[in-house]
This record gives sequence, C-alpha cells and structure tokens, in this order.
Amino acid sequence: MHTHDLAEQPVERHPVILDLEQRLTASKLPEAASRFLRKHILFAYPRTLWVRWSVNVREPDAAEDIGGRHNLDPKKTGKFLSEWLKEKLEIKNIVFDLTGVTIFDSQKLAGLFAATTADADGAKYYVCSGEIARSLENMPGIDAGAIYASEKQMVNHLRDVPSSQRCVVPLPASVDLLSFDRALRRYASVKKIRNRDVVALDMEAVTTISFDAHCMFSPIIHWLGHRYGILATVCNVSKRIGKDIKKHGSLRPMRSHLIQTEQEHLWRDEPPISRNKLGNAGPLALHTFTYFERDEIHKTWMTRMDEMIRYYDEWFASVGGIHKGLGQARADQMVSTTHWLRGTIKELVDNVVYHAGSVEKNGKRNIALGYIAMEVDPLPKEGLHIYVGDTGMGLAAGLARSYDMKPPTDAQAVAMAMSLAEQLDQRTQSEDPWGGRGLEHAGALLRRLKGRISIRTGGAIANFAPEKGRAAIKIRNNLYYVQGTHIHIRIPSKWKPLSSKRTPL
Amino acid sequence: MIPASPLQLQLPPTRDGVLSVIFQDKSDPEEIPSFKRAIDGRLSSDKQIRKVSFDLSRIDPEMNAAGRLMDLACATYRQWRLQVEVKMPADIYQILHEIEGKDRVPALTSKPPLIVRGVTVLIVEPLSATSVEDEAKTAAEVAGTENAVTEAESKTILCCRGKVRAVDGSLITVSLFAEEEEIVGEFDRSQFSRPDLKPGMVFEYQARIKAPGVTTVSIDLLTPQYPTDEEILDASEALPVDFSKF
Repeated sequence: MHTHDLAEQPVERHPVILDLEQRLTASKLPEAASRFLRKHILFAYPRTLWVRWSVNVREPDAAEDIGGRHNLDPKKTGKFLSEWLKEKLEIKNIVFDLTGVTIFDSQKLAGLFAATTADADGAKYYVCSGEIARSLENMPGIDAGAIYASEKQMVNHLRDVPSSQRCVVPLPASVDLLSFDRALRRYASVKKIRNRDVVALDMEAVTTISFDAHCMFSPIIHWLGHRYGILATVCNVSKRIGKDIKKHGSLRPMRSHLIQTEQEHLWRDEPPISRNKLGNAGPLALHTFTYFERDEIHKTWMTRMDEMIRYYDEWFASVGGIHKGLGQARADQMVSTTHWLRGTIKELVDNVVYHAGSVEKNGKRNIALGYIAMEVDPLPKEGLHIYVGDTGMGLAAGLARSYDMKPPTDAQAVAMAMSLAEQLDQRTQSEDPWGGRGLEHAGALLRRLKGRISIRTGGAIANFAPEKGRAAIKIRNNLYYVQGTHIHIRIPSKWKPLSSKRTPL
Repeated sequence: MIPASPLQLQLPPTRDGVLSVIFQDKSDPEEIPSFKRAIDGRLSSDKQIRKVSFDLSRIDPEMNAAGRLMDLACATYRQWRLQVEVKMPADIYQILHEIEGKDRVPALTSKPPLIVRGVTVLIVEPLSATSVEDEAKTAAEVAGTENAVTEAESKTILCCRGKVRAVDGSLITVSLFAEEEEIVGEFDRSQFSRPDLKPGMVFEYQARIKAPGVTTVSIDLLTPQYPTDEEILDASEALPVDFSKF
C-alpha cells in the first residue's frame, strides 16, 4: 500500500505489518484465529501495533469473526505476537483496543495481555471505558495509567513524542536536493532512525530551500512513515522559511504525519483565496494524486500552466525562441511550445498513474501516490521548475516487471531511463505490451525546449540534458534511499542578467 | 475505472474494402486493448475488408498515445496480414522517430513510402477543428441527426485595429493597437486579402481559437485612409491577448 494513509488513526494493511499475512500462514494457529488476527491487527503511528478486539455485528462475516475470537488461545496468540514483534524494530508499543466490546472474557484477555510483550522501550496500552476499564484496573500487572478512554485519547498520547525520541536532522543553510540528501545520510541513517519515533527536520540554519528540495519533503516523510512507522516534525523554522514552505505546500500532503508543528507552515491556499499580483500564476503547490484522480489532476496542472503562460507570456515566448510579433507563424510557434510543455507533463503524470503502482495477477491494482508541483521563476539561471514523482514501486522494479531483463539496480535503471525505446522488443506481453515510450517522449519534447531532467529512484539519481543525447550526463549512486520515482525538470530561462555595471554620468 | 473520454475512436462503414479507423480527441492509454477488440471484431465479421487505414490526423496533439496507436496498427498487420496504413501528422511522426530511432521508424526525409514494421505511414496535415466541424455537420445532415454535430468552441482572443507601417517585399511591418498600446509586428503579404498594400493602410486584426491548438488570424483591410495613431487608439476596443488558450 503506497497511498497516502491518514496517520491520525489506526491504519489497515500498513507496509510495516504486511508480513503478518505470511507469518500467520506459516504459524500453527487455528485458521479461525488467524482470520480474526488478519482482520483485527492494525498499525498506529508511531511504531504501534493496534489490536482491535471488537467485532462489528453489522458486517456479514460477524459470526465468523466472533467464532475466531472465541477460538483464540491466549498463550499461543500472545507467543505468536511476541515472537513476531521481537524481530520488528518498527513496532515497540501494543494497544489492545476494547472499545465496543460487549462480551468480556477477563480470564482469556488477562492471559493474552500477559503473554504478549512489548519492546523494552515501548509499552502496552488499553483502550476502554466504564465497566471494562474498572475490571482492567483490578487485573494484576496492568498499570491504570496505561488505560485510555477512547481511540482519540490513545492516539494523542502516542503522538506526544518526547524530545529524546526524535531523530534530529539539522538542515544546511542552503537546502537543495544534494545538501538535503547529505543531511539525511548523515543524521537519519538506518542505524540512527530505526529506534526513534519521529524524524525532526531542524531548520534553524536554513536560509533558502530550492524548489526541488521543497518537493522532496513530503515524499521522504511518506517513505519514512511507511518504512519505519515513524512520524515527522519540523522545528526552528524562521518566519521567512515558514512562509516559503507554506507557499510551496511542501508539507501539506503529509500533514497528518506531522506533530508538534505549527499548522501555519502546512496551510496553503489551494486554490488561492486571495489573488496576489501573480493572480493564479504563482507556484502550483505540491499536490497528490492517484490512479483514480487522473482527469482531476490533469485539469489542475493544465489550468495553472495556462495561467503561468498568460502571465509570463514573454518568458515562454523567449524559451520557445519566438521573436516579437503577431503573425500566424509566430502564433503557431507559441502553440508548439505550449504543446511540448503540456505533452511532457501529461506524459510524466500518466506514467505515475499507470505504472507507479502495480497490477496483481488477479487484476487488483495497487495504487501509488503521485505528486506534482510547478513554479516559474523567470530570473536568469532559474526557469520553469516541474516536479512529478511518486512513492510507488520505483523504476528498477517497474523495468523488471515490464521487460525481459535481469532486474536492474537503481543506478542501472536511472541510467537507461531515457533510452528505453531501445528495449521495446524486450517488453513483456503480459505487463502493458503497448507502453514503454513515456520517459523518452518527455525527453524528445524537452530536447525542443532545451530542458534538463533528473530522474531519481531508490538511492540513485541521473541528470540528463536531452538536447545533448540520451545518455545521462551525471549519475549519483548511494544516495539516501527514497521510495518510488522522482522526476525534476527545469526549463532554463534564456534571459541574460542585466548588466550591473554603472557608467558615470 | 477511469471513464473513457467520448469519441476516442470511430469506425465508419467500410468503403471499397477499406476500413477506416479514426482516432480523435484524447487517447486514453488504457483504452488501447478495447480499441483492438473493436477493430478485431470488425475484421473478423467482414471478410471483404482488404485494407485498414488508421487515421491519427485528428488526435489531440497533447493528450495522445500515438506510439501505442502505432503499435496497435502493427499488431493489426501482424495478426490479419492485411494492408495497413497509418495517417499521422509530421510532428507526431517526428517524435516517434526520435524516440524509437531510424531502425524502427525511418526518418521523415527518407525516400517514401515510410514503412514501420510492415505498416505504411502517410504524413498528413493535422485536421483543423474547422474541417472536423464541417465534416461533423455534413455527417449530421447525411444522417439527419443533430447529435452528430460537434460543437466547436470558437473564441476571439485578440481583436483590434492595425496599421501598415512598412512594406518590404513580402514582409509587412504593422502596428497593432490593443489595450491602449501599440504593438509592432511582422506579417506576411499573403495574410492580406489584397496585394496593393501601402504604408498607412488601416485594418482590423482578429485572432480566433477554433479548437485547442488551432488558432486562425484574419485581417480585413478597412480603409486606405490614414487616420492618426491617436484616433485609432481612441476607437479601439481591444480584447487582451490570451495565450493560455493557445
């Protein structure tokens, strides 16, 4: 599951507990009990296993569910859970949620609670109220302070993470893709982050954040949440940087993963409530989308792109090499330029929609979460920045599924990203036999616009200048691992800086 | 399931043993297998068909899946061993050539015919919205239905007075007076309705969008008189340029 899950409530099928299915199949637990556990074990942020004890009697399989619960052997179940969690550093707490329970078998539950052990740095909690809470308080080994009256209170307690449990990542003064990456590798390595509950991006020293770096905050927070079951926060944010984060909507998609964060940083007026001097031509803040939102997301970015072209018409004309004038030929040139741009973005968004997730043999589609953001900065050396990414299966895994080839490494995958048409004959017939030109199509259009493109997947990134050829001009490997594929495009300004030389009067 | 866009594919009645497969508007990549089923259905039910013509001249230049449609034509050729041709605009073909390389897709400048994996490619002009509209109207008249009429939105993006400033062979330098501003530009003589152009002539300039990506410019000469620029500016009720609709 790669879609954006709300982190403020227990989550079903979270990646951290996806191996439960395999474990249960291999276990000696009775089938009815396994079925109950499969359905009633959830994940809660941060690093918490959530066992929901109640059965919804309105569900069609309620009778089976109740049967499964009765069949649970407390000791065997407790042992199974304890052994599973012992190897799992991503989980340290256990919550037994007894909300809505109407049949209370105190002996069975006491046995289960006693047999299930939390991590040394974690705890066991109970969610219940009224009579059940009073019964629990009297059970041996249960701390009354570990009993919470509601799911909301419990979640709030879990999210109230002490400073000692933060993995602090001090960000440099100038945050761009590479400096952000260096900071993560240094301060949030697997060793440092896996027994923490929160990654804290410390922005005390930050004075600038590049567009590309803005776009990576949410995908990285999403990935860390899925990989380690942790939450995130940002701290020591200056007013100016906070405003910049707000403007780009960099944290907004992952707002439910953030704790102890000023909500002001997350807020982004999409669509704008107040029109500033740019009207709607300002940055397209980071938006998320899935397979089911294809039409909506195309409409969203196209509308913003139209606004940008209208406001920055001279900049776009200069990028398209269109001289001043209003003849039919010039109008056609402008049409071509905007077609190329729209064609490029459309291709990348469709790539996410159709290929970032996977389709199982039974036709079930695993949905990936896509991201898009755009900004025009007409200043010399800047330009039109576009980001389209996803936290899906990643380029290497995608290529291994779609082509008859040895599964490539991340570095090999990004290296061949812009020359996949050479592999068209190796495309498998089972996995979308008609595709395989998306990235190259984007490359062909970028060649006309003299754009630059960087493709990142897993721990590798490759930079391309399509007008110079299909081969990458630079490949970096062993970067901080980030789930999915992330594409950054820049169409550089053609405007030269005005001379700052002053001549005496 | 994402709903398919309407009018992605048309299969008109077979004429002289030729099945025309007309793609138009946006092509949804996920719809390709259903396109194939529809084409295969026609080919298996009509044994008189000796040629299949894929017409890509009306597809949306931005929202198309031309590579996949080309694959579909090649798969049709391989499966049915019929003569298959693909009509496509030059710019779309050129991009396919750049993507796939000359071994799979010959260069535009190659000696005709252009053959891609057994399929003949004919380079055609992209069909303008006007002709789509006209054809749709004709189809409606023939069929006697109103539903077949495609509503083509036509919007004026710039309408203002202009003045010929200089004439140099076929190059005509003009001023356009829009939004109380004078914009200097260059036109080609062929864009004017009469050849005897002289500096000072006043005309009405109109740029209209007929369909996404299709803009037409019309220039109507109004007068050979020579009013002052101020007079023209005062009289102008220009609409602003709206490049977003290009």
